[in-house]
Amino acid sequence: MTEQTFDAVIVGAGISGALIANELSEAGFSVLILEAGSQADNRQQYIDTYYAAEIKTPDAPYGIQDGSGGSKVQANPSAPHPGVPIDARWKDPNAYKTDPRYYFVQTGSVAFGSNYERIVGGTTQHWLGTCLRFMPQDFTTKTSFGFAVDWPIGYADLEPWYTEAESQLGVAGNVAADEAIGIEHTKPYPMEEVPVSYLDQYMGKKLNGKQVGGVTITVESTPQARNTVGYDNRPPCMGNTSCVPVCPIQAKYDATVHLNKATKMRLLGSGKSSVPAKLVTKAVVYKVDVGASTDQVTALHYKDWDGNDHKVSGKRYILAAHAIENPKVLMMSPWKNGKTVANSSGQVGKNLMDHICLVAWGKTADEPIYPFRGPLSTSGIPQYRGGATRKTRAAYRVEIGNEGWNWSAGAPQSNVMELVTPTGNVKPLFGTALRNQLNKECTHQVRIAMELEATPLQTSYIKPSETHMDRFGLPRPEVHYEIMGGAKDVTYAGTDGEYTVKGYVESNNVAQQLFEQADISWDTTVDASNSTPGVFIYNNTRYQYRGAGHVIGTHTMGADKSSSVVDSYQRSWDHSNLFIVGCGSFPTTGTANPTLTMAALALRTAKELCNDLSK
Amino acid sequence: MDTPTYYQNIKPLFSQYDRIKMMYFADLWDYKQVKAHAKTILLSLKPRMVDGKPDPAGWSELPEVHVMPLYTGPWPKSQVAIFESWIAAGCPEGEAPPAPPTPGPLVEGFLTLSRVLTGFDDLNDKVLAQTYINRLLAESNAAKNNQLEALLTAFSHNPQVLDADGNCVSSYSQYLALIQDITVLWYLSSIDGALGTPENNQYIQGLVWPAIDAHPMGFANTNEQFYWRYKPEGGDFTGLQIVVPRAAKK
Ligand SMILES: Cc1cc2nc3c(=O)[nH]c(=O)nc-3n(C[C@H](O)[C@H](O)[C@H](O)COP(=O)(O)OP(=O)(O)OC[C@H]3O[C@@H](n4cnc5c(N)ncnc54)[C@H](O)[C@@H]3O)c2cc1C
Ligand code: SF4
Repeated sequence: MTEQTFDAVIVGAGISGALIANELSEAGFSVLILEAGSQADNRQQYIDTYYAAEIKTPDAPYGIQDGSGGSKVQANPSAPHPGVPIDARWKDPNAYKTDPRYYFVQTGSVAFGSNYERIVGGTTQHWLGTCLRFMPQDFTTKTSFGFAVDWPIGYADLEPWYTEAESQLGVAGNVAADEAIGIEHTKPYPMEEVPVSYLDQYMGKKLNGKQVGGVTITVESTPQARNTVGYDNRPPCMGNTSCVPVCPIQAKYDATVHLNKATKMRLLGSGKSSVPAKLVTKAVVYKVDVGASTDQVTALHYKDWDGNDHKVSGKRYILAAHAIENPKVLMMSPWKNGKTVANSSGQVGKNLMDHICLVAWGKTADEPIYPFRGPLSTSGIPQYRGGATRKTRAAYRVEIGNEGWNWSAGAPQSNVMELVTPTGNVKPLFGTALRNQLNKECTHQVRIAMELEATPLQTSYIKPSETHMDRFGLPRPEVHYEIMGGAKDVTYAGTDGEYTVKGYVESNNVAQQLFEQADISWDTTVDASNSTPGVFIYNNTRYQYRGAGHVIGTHTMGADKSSSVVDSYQRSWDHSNLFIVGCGSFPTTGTANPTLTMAALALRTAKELCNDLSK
Repeated sequence: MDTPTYYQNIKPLFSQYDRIKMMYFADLWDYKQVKAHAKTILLSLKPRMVDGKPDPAGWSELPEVHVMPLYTGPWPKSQVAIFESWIAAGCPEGEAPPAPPTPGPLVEGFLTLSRVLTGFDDLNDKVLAQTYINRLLAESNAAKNNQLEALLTAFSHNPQVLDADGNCVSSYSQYLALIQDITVLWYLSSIDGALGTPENNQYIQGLVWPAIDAHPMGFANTNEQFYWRYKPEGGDFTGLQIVVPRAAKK
């Protein structure tokens, strides 16, 4: 065992960890970052692995698959991470033995469909980069609509931090579109918006000004952490159309941007220089020690990839290991009175949420709209995010995709297979006829996603598995996911907590109306098997949702220590030198992709840490 | 460090962005070209600075872009040093990816048949054709027992494989599975779901992409900025085309 001491020890080299490390290093504090994953020698290795992968899932470049097909990046059993579940195996805890995608032990009545990465840079290596602010009403759903809980801070508290996060990540966007739905800015975005795709322009032509589902809608360019000019020494986007899972040129922000800054010695404007943070990779943290009398965290324990144990200490500790791994590590750490660390409220691991996604797809009737070009999404329809309907059902955001039926049906590869190797009595097609038919089918494909606000539920949780371990004997996450009160099967009619599902049904109706107005056929299907992840039945109708990758709510912040895990600075109520950061701190999901809000919170926390450490 | 070599140490330093931006001058992913222009490239990696900015006057052979990489910021000194020591060592090539196969006797017939099956009249990459022949022989069940040779022989006597609707004519129905394998291979670089390796660019050469007026996901080989806002027209704005600035053409 080795022991060292730092001003701050950060667990996780993802975006929240990297942002905080960078601020502390600039302020002159010594920082140690413990990161479970490793890093490829260079970006091209991720890209080559992705090109060679049979199925181009979000984790394809990072070696979740078995390393066949010429992959350079191998799946990593020492810091395992989940993939997106694709079939009934999501319920089988032993599926993991043959397919590392099934890392979660799932025990809920519905499937948790989202994943994350355990590599240097974390999940932003494969995120899309959408960077929306929350609406002011997202912070006050209890007061405004009687739904769930209010945040302990509001939009006005966070606004300066949104501005700072947009500048640090490099967000391209259009302020006017935000202000039209009540999101005021004190500063414009640092870059002009990403030009909207040809497909978006078609949608705008068909939909702008129309009344659909009771609101007048417009198609708006989405703010995104994607360069439109050279920014922060990174090039403008070239439209590689693979933002998920890897941007070949880092036009899309990922956390290695701040990690590289934090770990370098830099001269600062003040004439001082930064203190480079120390990054230790292949360090899987598994336990937090708390002093017997002081309630202060005294050390962290980690295993390296050879299985050796290490112990480190610092003045402050920051858990930034993602909303699944943060509570898992806490719940693996005994404290007092039979409780685990930071859990006097009993809320650690509870309220597990994700925006549930309705993916809808169809084809334009006459005009080709040429998808498969440009960033995976450049526009959305913001008007369904707010309003009085939030008193009775979930609100949502509409994202318009640029990747045809790639996400929904595996296009264009699936189209080739259907035409050349059809089933049944259909004749295989070749030659010019094949080429023309393929062009016709693929150039008309449209995909949208409705991303629904979730309901925080005590019955939806993550905890360390008691029976299923990884290769070090560390528990795999047991994910018990519910989107409603916790019915024992997938038939929801008659149970309570229908807020989200009602919103889902409404968004399904709206999606159909949007397609009708835009001359798009409705080709959306629900998988035939009830065991397929995401399939559920409500009022005798079958639906299917997908995960959004937005893992939220497992160490919620609040104004009251009896019902929340951290305060608004993400400081543990129980241990004042412990901070637990990331989307797990959100009490509710809001109606926007979470990472910009998480970045704003992280920067606010970093400021608090600097003040605290300077005392 | 050991003597740096092109494939192990130099090529990974050039991003896709650098490559496309510098394409009018040299292909940075091509060993011979980088070797030929090594000194000029070095100059552009450490340009003469005036008032803290690269000298805008054309001090190198490079007609437009003086500093490379344009946006990723100046290379760290250590990286420039690797490039310098590579030049000093005589620009060694290092361990190149497996050499592409030499086109054999089946290639011409295979390409002619492939043009018919894929609907791409301009298919002409003999090396890729040989790569695919080798893969079919190794991986395709339908090509076993000399079926590929038999199909090509039949085709040389009777080029009418398809009817007017693009379906396989009955006299070729015994070869249907092989014909399907060949077509899918050209479109997706895949046989039974197994994909080609990226070293010889099979994924990014899939015909599915030009067929749908798009580019391989993960590889937009274009310098048409924000091309996706426009309607593709005659190969433009598909993400497949590097437009060489007229002034730079030699
Ligand atoms: C497909 C996909 C697309 C997405 N797109 C968007 C989007 O467009 N917009 C948006 O706002 N959000 C998006 N997200 C969500 C976004 O990626 C996450 O919100 C964000 O990355 C979370 O950041 P984090 O720092 O909390 O965690 P992570 O980024 O996951 O980083 C956590 C880090 O901690 C490390 N770690 C984990 N366990 C341990 C341990 N025990 N010891 C040491 N280190 C550990 C991990 O290796 C990792 O590096 C997307 C997610 C997915 C999956
Ligand atoms: S479209 Fe391409 S270049 Fe642009 S951000 Fe996405 S992956 Fe990067």
